[in-house]
Amino acid sequence: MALRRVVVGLDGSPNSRRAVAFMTRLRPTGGRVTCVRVVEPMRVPATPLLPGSMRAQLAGQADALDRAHRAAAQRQVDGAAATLSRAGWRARGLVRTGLPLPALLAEVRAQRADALVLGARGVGAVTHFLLGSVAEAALRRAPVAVMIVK
Amino acid sequence: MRPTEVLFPTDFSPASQVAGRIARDMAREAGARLHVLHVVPPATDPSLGAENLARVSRELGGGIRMEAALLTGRAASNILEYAREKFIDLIVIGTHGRTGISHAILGSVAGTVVRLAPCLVLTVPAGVLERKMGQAVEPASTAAAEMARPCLVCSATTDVLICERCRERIRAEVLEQKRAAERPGHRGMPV
Repeated sequence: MALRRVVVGLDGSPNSRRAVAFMTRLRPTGGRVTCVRVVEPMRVPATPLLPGSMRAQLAGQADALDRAHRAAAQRQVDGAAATLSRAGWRARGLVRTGLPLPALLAEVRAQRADALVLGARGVGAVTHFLLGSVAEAALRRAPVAVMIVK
Repeated sequence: MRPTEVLFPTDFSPASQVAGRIARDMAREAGARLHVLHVVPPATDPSLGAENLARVSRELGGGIRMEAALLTGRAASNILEYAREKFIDLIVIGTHGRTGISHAILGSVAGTVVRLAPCLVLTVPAGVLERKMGQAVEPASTAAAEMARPCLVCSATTDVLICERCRERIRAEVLEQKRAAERPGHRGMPV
């Protein structure tokens, strides 16, 4: 009952690249990996005093930024999936929108994964900051095994 | 580089049983050596721990290189020191899934290990086995089940409020802190 169905959370940090590198080193015996990057949507502040045309312009710019973020995220997860496929996993990349941890946990449930692989994000000397907030919360809330890669 | 040294620190709880199986499988697949480590709380009789360690090693053994170690002292710092000394690449550790107040008061060995470990850490929450494999870890007899309730600290099944193992550990930790506080030149709580 080692790792068969794995969800890898990516955020573009060096640690999450190491998470992918680590997965390529495991011996994949018919295992499946889903690389997920969660994009948080841009929030435009409420601007009731601005004229409607300007508000529409702001919303349009936010949409364009969102699309650019999603496109970059898609390229990243596709790249990671390609790397993992070469290593012998059945891999695919997904981009989800929302808050990082809930979206990752939803993906874990949807895939019926048996492990979630995450990069430890934080840096610094103080004990508490050696782990990013997503990794820290995943340890407490994930119903499956969590691998923290540093 | 594939993991060549896998460490499985255990407190013999159901949560760590599951972690043990995963550690064994990962070590077998990678052809790695499996280290089984138990840390006895300070000022406690280690004979029970030694017996349990031998039993767990027997259960996990078979077809892989193994090493068992019994240390005494604080769990987290001993696990980390062992990992550094033996050049461990992967630690597989069970978590009780405690949150809220008991987590804040007692801290979490797994949490400390994850933060400070020099290597990869795989945490396995309690209850993973029942969900995945559809079998109970601890078969409880009916008479015991009537009396049984979860321990306030580790949520293992017990017929009292706090199970014997947790009581022993808390007693030992308090004693250790008291000794540290009385040490000359003491400043603040020991790390």
